[in-house]
Amino acid sequence: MRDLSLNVLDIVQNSITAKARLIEISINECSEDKTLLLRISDDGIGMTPEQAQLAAETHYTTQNGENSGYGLPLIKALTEKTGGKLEISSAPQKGTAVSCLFYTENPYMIPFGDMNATVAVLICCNPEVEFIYQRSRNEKSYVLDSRHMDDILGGCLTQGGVIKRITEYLTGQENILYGGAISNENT
Amino acid sequence: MKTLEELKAIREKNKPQLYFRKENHDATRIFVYMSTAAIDAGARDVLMTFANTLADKNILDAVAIQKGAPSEGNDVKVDVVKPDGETVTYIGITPEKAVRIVDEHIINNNVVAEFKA
Repeated sequence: MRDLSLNVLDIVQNSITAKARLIEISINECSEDKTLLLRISDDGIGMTPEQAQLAAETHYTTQNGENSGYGLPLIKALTEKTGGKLEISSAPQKGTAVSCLFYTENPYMIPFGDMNATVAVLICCNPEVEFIYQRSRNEKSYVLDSRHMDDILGGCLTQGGVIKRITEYLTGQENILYGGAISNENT
Repeated sequence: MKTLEELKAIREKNKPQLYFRKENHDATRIFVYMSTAAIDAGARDVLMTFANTLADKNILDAVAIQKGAPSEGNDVKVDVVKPDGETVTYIGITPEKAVRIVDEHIINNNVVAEFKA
């Protein structure tokens, strides 16, 4: 089964192909509702409402003759298997937003995967695109904005070095997100 | 006494220059195609391996870039573009093969003929 982090990469690839310059990725988990809401929005060329509706159906693509476009139907099926859903809103020249709701306790819930690797690669290997990555779990949250990373990078210059710094930073933040929550439940 | 403009220029100069964050045509660019099928075939790890290997070997005049266009076929496809525009396309690339492309093509300027598309 393809994990959530690879699905995020796939949806973001659509945004990059749509000439987005700023892409926002947010993942919000709620233990009480047992939900995970993934939202990816961009400022790319967008689609008409008809195209947006078709985009989540099998093998539709806005690029003639190329085999993109089966990422969204795949993710839609993965959300629905958990009892959730996928929604797309889009307008020409305004950009596109994809929301995926998963029910995390459902046995069909997909593994989380290496989200920090996905985010680090996206930021470091897309020179012309800026990213905002936001995560929350219950009352805790953190944000990484590729336009304001100087504190995290500490003067590091090489691409591989920056990937490592970003991954370390995100892993630390993730530990706080989960670690604190577990100790709260214990008290 | 320096003018405000001069101070601003100094600050800009001392800021970490993340040259790879702006597409740099003076560098060798390694494009990894990222379609749905390529993601399933491991394109993310190939891209990361290129970036990490370049850093490990202290190569500062090459950069790994995610290609913003879908590729045909189900394999991981890679274009190596030299500053003069010379382009070599590789197909079926894995992290192990990515390390060989860095060693042979990027460092020694020998195209890895067996991986060519």
